[in-house]
Amino acid sequence: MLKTFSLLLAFIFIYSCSNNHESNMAKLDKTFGCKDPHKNLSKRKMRDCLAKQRAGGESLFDLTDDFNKLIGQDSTVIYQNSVNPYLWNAGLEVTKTYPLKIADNQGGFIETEWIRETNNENHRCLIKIQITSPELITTGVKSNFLCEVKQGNEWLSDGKEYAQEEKQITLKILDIAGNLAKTSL
Amino acid sequence: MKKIKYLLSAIPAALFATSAQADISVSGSANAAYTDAGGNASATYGGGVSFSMSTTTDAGVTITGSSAISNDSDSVGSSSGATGITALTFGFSGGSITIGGDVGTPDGVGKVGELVGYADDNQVAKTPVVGLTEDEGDGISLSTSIGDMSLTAVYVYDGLGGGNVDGAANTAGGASLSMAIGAGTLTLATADEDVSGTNNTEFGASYVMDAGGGTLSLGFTGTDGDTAAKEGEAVSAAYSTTLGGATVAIGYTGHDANNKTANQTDVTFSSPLGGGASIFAEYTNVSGDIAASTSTKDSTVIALGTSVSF
Repeated sequence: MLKTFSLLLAFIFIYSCSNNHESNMAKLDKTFGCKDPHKNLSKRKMRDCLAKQRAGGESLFDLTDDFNKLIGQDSTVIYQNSVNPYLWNAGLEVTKTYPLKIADNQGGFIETEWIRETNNENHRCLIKIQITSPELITTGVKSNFLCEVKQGNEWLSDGKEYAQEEKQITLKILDIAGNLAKTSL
Repeated sequence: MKKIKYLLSAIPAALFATSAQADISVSGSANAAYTDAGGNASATYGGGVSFSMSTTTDAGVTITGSSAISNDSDSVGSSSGATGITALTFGFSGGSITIGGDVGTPDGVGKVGELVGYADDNQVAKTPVVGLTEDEGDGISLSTSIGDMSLTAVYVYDGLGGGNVDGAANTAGGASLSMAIGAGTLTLATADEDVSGTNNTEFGASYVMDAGGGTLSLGFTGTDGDTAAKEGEAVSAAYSTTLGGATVAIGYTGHDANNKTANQTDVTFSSPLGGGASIFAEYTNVSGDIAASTSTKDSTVIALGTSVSF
């Protein structure tokens, strides 16, 4: 018993050094076929293997395919979401205090209504957020900050760039998305 | 910047986390054969369907179990049955570990010339039979590779299949190693058995190489231990080739144990018919120190049959 266990322990140690087992087994399969001494086939599996080997590797039916049809596995519909859910939810979180004009989760687009300051009725801004990636990557979100000023009865662009504000929005979205991803693991 | 660094550290885990994937494969075979042993004709038929269920863990370990509905296809008596999953195989990138029933020791490696699977059903027994008998049961098997060498180690802790890890009457163990040498593949194996206190050890070696458009196999088996009828050597050889799509093989094995000798000559033929079907023919003859022929058994047996792979 001790001898056997010592052998097994040594084997496990050696095992950790191995990295080409699959290619070695493929070579042995080619050489020995069903009688590969390392296959350890039961009597039943050996019968199946020999029958297939005699038939030149062919099978009468594709039982696996038929079985999958029977249990409905082949009718799987693959849905590929083009919008990363963490970034999307983070975008909603960032804009949750404002009324939303557009929230298109298929296109990954969020746009707020015009946001006005109570002490400055002649100035308004809105936020546009576009989620551009199905993956959680730092370049997967774009933010725009647009502002207008009222001149007479018309609202005109204030002509300013809000790069710092846009950066803050993007970083906030990424921060929240990272936390959401971390807590979902 | 800190936030970006933090986010970057969180991204890989989110991107590379994978969910478990389950897979079911179904396979099987059916066989029918006519066997003639000195005028005693028999029919054998059977087969089965195997279900193999596997899944892959998040860490990339493949776990496989299989069950079957079967009918013994190589003996006259019909033995139907359904089995649940009796063993689990854990597949890693560097090898695999199997735990459960039907784990076999690497015995018989050197008997490369014993080819028939049906024709020996009604054949008289050889008096000297070199090799082990306790070769399968509940146990653990590990398989891996070192460089180009493939290694398998097996320990059968209960040869009677009772799941007794530390107190079974029948136990067995062994190891085998295969490597490419010259133009062929050399396999060395050792196996030992303890059958209710009767101990025997087998050493087997085989060398398989391409020769003359076919495959030449040479083998040696040596057994040492408590059973005199097993204690001795066996030499074996086989040659197989293809002829117009059919496979023809001839094998010879000579047993020499306890001052008695017996020889077995096998010839097999098989041809695919397409669609997973094939026909086969087997011939086997034993001579030397063998049991006397009876009304049902003979030294020379032929079998003709067909098999279908699903």
